[in-house]
Order: sequence, then C-alpha cells, then structure tokens
Amino acid sequence: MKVCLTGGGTAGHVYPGLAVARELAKDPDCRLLYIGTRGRSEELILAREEEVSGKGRIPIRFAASRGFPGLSPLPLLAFACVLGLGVIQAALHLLRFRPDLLIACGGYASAPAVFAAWGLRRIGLLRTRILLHEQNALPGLMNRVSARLADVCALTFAESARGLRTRRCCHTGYPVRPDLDRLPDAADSRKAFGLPAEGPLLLVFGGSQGARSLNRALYALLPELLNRGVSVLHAYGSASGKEYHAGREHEVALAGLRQKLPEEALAMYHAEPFFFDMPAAYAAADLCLARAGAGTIFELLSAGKPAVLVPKMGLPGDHQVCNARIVEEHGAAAIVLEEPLPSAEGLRASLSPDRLREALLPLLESAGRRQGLQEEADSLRRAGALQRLVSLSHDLAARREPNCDEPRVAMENGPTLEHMTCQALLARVEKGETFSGADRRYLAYRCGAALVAGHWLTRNCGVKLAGALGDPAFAPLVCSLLRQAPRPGRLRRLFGEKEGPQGFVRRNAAQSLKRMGARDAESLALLRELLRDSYWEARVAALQALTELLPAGTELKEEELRLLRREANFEERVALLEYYGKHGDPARWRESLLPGLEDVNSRVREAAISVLAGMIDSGRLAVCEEIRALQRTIMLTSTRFHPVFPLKQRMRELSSRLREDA
Amino acid sequence: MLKLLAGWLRQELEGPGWLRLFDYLSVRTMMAALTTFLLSLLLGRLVIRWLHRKGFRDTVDDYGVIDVGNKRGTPTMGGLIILGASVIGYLLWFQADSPYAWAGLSALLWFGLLGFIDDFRKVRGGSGQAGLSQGTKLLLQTLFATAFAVWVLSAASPLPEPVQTQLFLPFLKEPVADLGWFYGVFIVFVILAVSNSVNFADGMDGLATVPAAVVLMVYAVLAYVIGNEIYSGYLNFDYVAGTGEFAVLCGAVIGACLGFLWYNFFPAQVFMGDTGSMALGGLLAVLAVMLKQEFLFVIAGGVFVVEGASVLIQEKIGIRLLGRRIFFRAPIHHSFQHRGVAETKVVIRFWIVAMLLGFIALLSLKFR
Repeated sequence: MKVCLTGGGTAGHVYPGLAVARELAKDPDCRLLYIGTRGRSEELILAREEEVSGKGRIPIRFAASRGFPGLSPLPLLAFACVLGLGVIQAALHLLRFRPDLLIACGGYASAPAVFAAWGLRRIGLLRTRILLHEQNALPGLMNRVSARLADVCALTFAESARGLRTRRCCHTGYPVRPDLDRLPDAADSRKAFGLPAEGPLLLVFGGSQGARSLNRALYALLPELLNRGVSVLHAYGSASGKEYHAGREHEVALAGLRQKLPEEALAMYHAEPFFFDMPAAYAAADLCLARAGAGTIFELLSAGKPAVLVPKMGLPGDHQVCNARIVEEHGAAAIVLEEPLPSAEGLRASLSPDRLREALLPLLESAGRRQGLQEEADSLRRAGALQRLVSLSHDLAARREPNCDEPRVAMENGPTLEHMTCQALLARVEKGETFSGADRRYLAYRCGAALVAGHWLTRNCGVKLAGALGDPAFAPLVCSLLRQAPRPGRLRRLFGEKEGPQGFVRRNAAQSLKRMGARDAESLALLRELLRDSYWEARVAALQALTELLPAGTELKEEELRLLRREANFEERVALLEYYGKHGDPARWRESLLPGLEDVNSRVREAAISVLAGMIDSGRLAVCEEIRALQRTIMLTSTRFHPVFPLKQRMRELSSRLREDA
Repeated sequence: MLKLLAGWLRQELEGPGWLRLFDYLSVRTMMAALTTFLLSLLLGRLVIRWLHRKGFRDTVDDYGVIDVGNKRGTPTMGGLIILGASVIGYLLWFQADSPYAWAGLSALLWFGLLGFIDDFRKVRGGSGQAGLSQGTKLLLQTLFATAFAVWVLSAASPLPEPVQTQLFLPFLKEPVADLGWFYGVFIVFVILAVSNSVNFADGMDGLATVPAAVVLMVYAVLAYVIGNEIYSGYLNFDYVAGTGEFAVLCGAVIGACLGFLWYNFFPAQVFMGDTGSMALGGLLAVLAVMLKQEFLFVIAGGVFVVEGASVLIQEKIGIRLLGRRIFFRAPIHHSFQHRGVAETKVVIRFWIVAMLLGFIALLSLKFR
C-alpha cells in the first residue's frame, strides 16, 4: 500500500496525519510520502520525527502554496500563480509515487496535493483516493473546497458536517498520541516537578510558543492562587520575538513575585519554557488552562483532564472560538474569551485576570465540579479515533466501501456567524436582524476582535459594529483605540493627516459613541478633542455626538469650536447650527442664527430654519416681532427638491396589500 | 448601404443625377444623424417596455419598500437603444470599404457588449457588486486596446507612415515627438482611460449623453477637416485620406444620443447603464487615437476627465492611502448634489461646461 500524506502550514495540521502515518507504518508493506510546503512546520516536524517505522523518517517533497489572501486582485493573482505552480509540482510528485491513498489534513499546504490528485484522477492518470481529515469544528476555507473533491471527509467534531458539502462524512474523532491513554502516576509526576503532593494543581500551557495573554493573566493571578494553596505548573513558551519575549517576561514576573510572596508559597510554583514530558504534566494536573486548538482539546479530553479553555482571538474563521463553543455546549470544559484591553502597547487582545479568576476558582476549589466536566468529556472524546482512521485508510486504499458512522447533525444552510467577515456581520446588524443571546455575545466578542485587528479597515469596521450594537460598554475600547495613536507616516502628514488612526476611524468612532449613548467622562473628553481634528468629517461627527450627548444647557468653549468655525464647509456650519439649537445661549440668537439664514448654501439655511423652529417649539426662544419680520427676508429659493412619483405611491399601496395577503 | 445602392443605380441603370447626393460626406452625416434619431425614438419605447418585462431594473426586488421619491426601479441597459439605433442607422449610410468605419463599429460593439454583460450580471445578481469585477473589465478592455494598437501600428494601418507613431498636441502645429513602438503602449493607456472616464460620468439623468455628443461633434469636425485635402491644407493638418468617414459615424451616434436623451433626461425612464457608457467611451477613445487628437480629449471631454480624476483621487489617495474623504462625494457630480444643488441643475451646468469646452476644443483648429 502506498499512502501520500499532506497538510500543514501550522503544526495543528501536521500531527493528526503523522499519528495515522505512524500507525500505518507498522505494516511493512506500507510506503509513505509527505507533500508539504517548504520552510513550514511540516518540514521542521518531519525533520525532528525519527524512525517512524524502522525504515527511517517519512520522505518529504515540496509543493508551493500560500494562504488565501482575500479578494483584492493583485494578491489574488499572486495566490493563483503560486497555487498553480504548487499543483503542478504536487502532480509530478504524485505521478512518480503513484499512491493508492492521499490523506489530507487541511491547512493551505494540503491544497496543491488534493487538487492535483483529484485532477489526475479525473483525466485517468491515477487512481488515488482522497481522505480528508478536518480537525476544527468549523472547516477552514481550503478544507471546504477540498471536501468537495474528497472521497471521504473524516471529522473531529460531528458539528463540522454543517455546511460542508462532500460525498461522505465520517465522524472519526481526533487521533491523539497513544501515550496519553496510560498516564504515569500523579504523585510521582508531582514529585518530579518538585511540587507538593497535596492540594489542587493547575497546569497552564499555551502551545510551544507560549500565549502572551494567558501568561500575563496568570502572573497577575498567581499570588492569589498560591496563597489559596493551589500549586501551579506553567509552560510559558519559547517565544523570543522583538514584540514578545516569553522568557524575559517570566524573569521579570518572577522577580516581582519573590518580593510579594514567602518562599514556601513560591515552592508551589514550577515553570519551564515547555515540558518535554507532557504525559507527566497531565498526570500531575487537576485542572488545565490552555488554548482551544483542536489538538489541545482532544489531548485534554483523552488525558481525562478538566480544563478552562482560552481561544485565541482573531484567527481565520475564528476556529478556536468555535471549537471552544462546542466543547462548552457539551459541558466538557469552561471557556474564557479574550477581550481587547488597553495595555502599555496599546489596545490588544488580552485575558482579563478577573474573568479568569471567576472561571478558575470554583473549579479549583470543588473536586465535584471538576468531576462533572470530566464526565461530560467522555461524550465528546470519541475514543479509538486512530483505529477508525487507520481502518478507513485501509478500506479506501483497497477500494472497499468504507465502514463508518455518519454524523447525525441537522444540516444548516447559509454561512454561520463565525464564517462571516466583520463587514458582513455589520451589514446583518444594520439590517435590524434580531440575534439570540449567545449570538449577541459572539457579536460583541467579534467586535472586540475587530478593534484589535491588524488592518485599519477591520478596526474601522469594529468601531462601526460597536456603534451598531449600541452597547456603551464598548466606549472605553473605542476611546483607547483612538488614544493609542501611532504617528502617521510622512506622506500622510503631507496630506494633512496629523492624528493617529485614519480619518474614517476617527469619524466613525465619534458616530459610534453617539449611537451607543456614551455619556461617560472619558468619551466626552475624547469627543471634545475630536472637535479639533484635522479631518472635517471627524469634527462634524464629534460635534453632532456632543450635541446629543452633552447634558442640556452645557456649552462648549469657544476655543474648542475654533477650528470648526474657521474652516467651515457647509457640513460644519450645519453641525454648528444644530449644536447651537440645543446648547447655545438663546440670547445670542442674532449672531448665531442670522448668518445661517443668509448662507449661500441652501442646506445651511434649511438647518437654520429648523433650528429656529425647534428653539421656538421647546420654548428656548420667545417669539418676538423681530423674528416674525425675518419671514419676509429669508432666502427662500433653493434648488434642492425631492420628486414624488404618484405611480410608485400607488404601486407601494398595491404591493403592501399583496404582502398582507401572503 | 444606401451609398452602394445609389452608386450601383447610377452606374448600371443610369439612375437620376440627384443620386450622387449619397456620395457627399455632409449629406451622409446629416442623414445618418436624422435616421438614428428617429430610430432611437422608435426603438426607445420598445426597448423600455422589453426591459421592464424582463425585469432588467435597477436593483429593486421588494416593492413594499419602494421609495416614491427616487428613481430606483428604472430599467438600466438603455445603452441598447443607442447601440441599436446607431449601428442600424450607420450601416444604412456608411461607406462599406472604409477601414475607419469598421474600426469605429468594432469599438462600439466590443465595449457595448462588455457593458451589456456587466449590466446583465448586476441586474441578475440583484446588486451592483454582482457585475464583472474591475479586473475582468480592465482585462477585456486591454484585450481590445492591444489588438487595436497592433493594427494601428501595423502595415495594414490606414494612417500614413510618418504620422502613425507621431504624437500631436492641440494648439501646436508640429508633432512633439515620434514615440515609435512606445506609441502602442500609449494607445492602450488612452483607450483604458477614456472608456472608463465616460463610465464614471454616467451617474445622473442625461449627464453622460450630452457631453458625449459634444465631444463626438468636435471629433466629427476634425475628422471632416483632416479627411479633406483643401481644408486640411488650409488649417495646417496632415491630410489623411478617408477619415471623413468618422464624421458620418459621429453623426449617427450623435443622433442616437439625442434620441436616447428623449427618454433619459430627468426624471429618466431608462438609464444607459454600462452598455451605453462603455460603448460611447470605447468609440471616443478610438476616434481620439485615429485622428491623432488624444490630448484634445482632455479639453473636449473635460467633464469626463474631471469625473474620472475625482473618482481616482477619492479612491486611491483619499480612501486607500489616507483613510479619509477628499471630496464630499465622488464622482464629483454627487459632491454638488450633496451640497444641495438639485440633480437637474447639476446636469445642465455640466452640459453648459461641456459645450464651452467643445468650443475651446474647436479653437484648436485655427489657433496653432
């Protein structure tokens, strides 16, 4: 039997395939080949991987590929070229190796081999069957495309069958490493890490690189945990980038702890960059705190450890959140979502220590609750995934009808919220759709994720979404987004951009603050600053927001309005008039309203007239002879008009009647 | 067609002498304009009713939310009227063996078809997003432009040898440069720029129609002068035999535009859509290149140039680079509307400007 493996880009798409490969390689007649992308985790992992079968490591061949760049034309063209080249490369490797079966584990690295195998089979050059393994609850883009080409799609979560169009789905589960089934003795493991034998033990790990937000929240919470008698085993990761250096931060945090805590409390804390012996770490732990990648989740489930999951924010398709949401629905773990919090580096995705405490303490203190999670975990775990995948592989390679369980889930049409971009979510919210409580929470989460996104258009969309959701809780986030203000480049300054985030972001921030009714001091102070923005739309939006949000009768300082008065295009003049109508001093109506009534622009005159009427209605301005006399002199001609089409009126009446009948 | 028929009648059957009227450029131009005007009036009613029946409306699907105050629900693709009338009318009056006639017609049809596909997909897809992507449109336009450039610079080109690759500027007698093969690249650029700028201007009732007719008028005069040995000598143009045929084509399209305007001015019964604006743009671009008056378009078609430039500045510099608006709205006619000038007023002011620019462009005949 000849089996070709593919998949990668990130480690999560490599390990499940390797687990199957290791099992298949026990058969001496089985030959293996891996097709991956050069320089990606599959190359590194395979290089590390020794002697899978006694016949040496799995040979790897390379095919070019890259992640889907979105729909802008130039990157898309580059993507198509790279993928096209990759498909040709993969086709040559496949033709030389002539495998019976291709096992694809997703990620963009698997796309060339899947496309090539499918194409070669269509033209009759190969008879390779394709088995696709989907790790995440929500299939990624490449897997959704590949699933249509695959013979069988093996799923980790039964829920992934939703919205996946494929010939056949099998609910196999996730093939975890077999050594997790037989964990070493807990007491021995604790001793090996130098931790006390009694009391609850929390294991914290965020993958090999480490998770910044997880680590930081843990450092903040450590004194309390240790004081309560909780032992902590911590893998802080080996990240050593310019932006985040896990080891260095760990040293600083540890030094701080030494000053605060007695020696015996610190003895309950053991940290390493990462644990080579994960089974021992699992064995020692009573509760785990980890990321929500599919691999991590199923390791935890197999090891039988209750966990608190922290999905990473802002990943493509939000797959960690979806995984975590499904695990939570099954009651098999608790989740804590990251949220954008202001920090020294500006607004970024962080884990709030308070939320973490709320989730951790009840579980640490009550063995019963932990037991509860663990019982539910069995329903989700689906033991024997590896055997199921191996027998599926044998069946497919031998061209037998595969014997597997089809997942029983209701098929839903249409994209789920998780699949949608921020813009699409915004459009749905703006349409006035109603959302369930869980969906609203997810929308709020996505809004936060958009606010800390890398590209300004996504941040801009997050600002708009915050306004559309109308929750004043977002106001501090919107404010700190504007405050972090990186200085714009020279070219932008040349064009008059002096502030940090793009003009649209500032304008939309003001509009959103108005929509959510943010009356707190911080928001009002920010809006007052925006009155002096270099971009007219931001100034106008800020003044409109202040007109609505300021308590009645509060006047802005003339100094604050100076720029609005000086540069005055008609939008600014309209905004100033409306502001005057609500907050200005009625005694000064002559200076404030008369120029507006004689303005060259008819829209300013319109605004002035309605402000005058509004002030009279609300009793702020008493009608006097002088005002009556104005009627004769107001410039009344204007070219602005709205036509009315009576035919369309009749049609509207007719169609509303037709709709009632239907 | 009629010219051939008249020639044949005179030669073979010794028909009456007035039949030679069909040989005169001026007669054919005026008659073509009148024919196409009448044709587009007739076609207009039929096409509008047909578009309604087929549901080729400007994206409205739910009649419960009809806005009685705006023009949504007006059928688009009215460019079919312009295309149909001018092609039929021109085929009646054209000179069948002229390469200029076929160059103009092929531009009109290629760009018209491109626009039609775009409109069709927008209407079927239910939104403006569903049409051809910007990239596909550019690709198909470049395809035509490249083939055209190759033809203009090849041996089969009707333009005489030295003039072929020379670059002329309005108000200057002598060519400023001989670009050689690089002229081909320049041709592609001109065609893309001109055809798209007309597309941007088509955003209000009648806004693109009249300025397009004015530019066609200017090029008709130029084509007549350049193709006439005496006038071209008098006005110091390089004489190019046969370009007068363009005058007939221009006449035909002007007539069709006026007939279309019958239905299209405020409040419109039909929009020209990309079908019309692309076809007009493609034709203008071919005229500009073949009459060697590319830069005259900046003056004569100033309205289109400003519209196109406003979109580019707003999109590329404003939104992409700075993340802020530079104009209130783009294309620029929406900016005026936003400031409170009524649509009708904006349109007629643009017509006035277009006509003035047309006069200035005609000044370049003598001021050289």
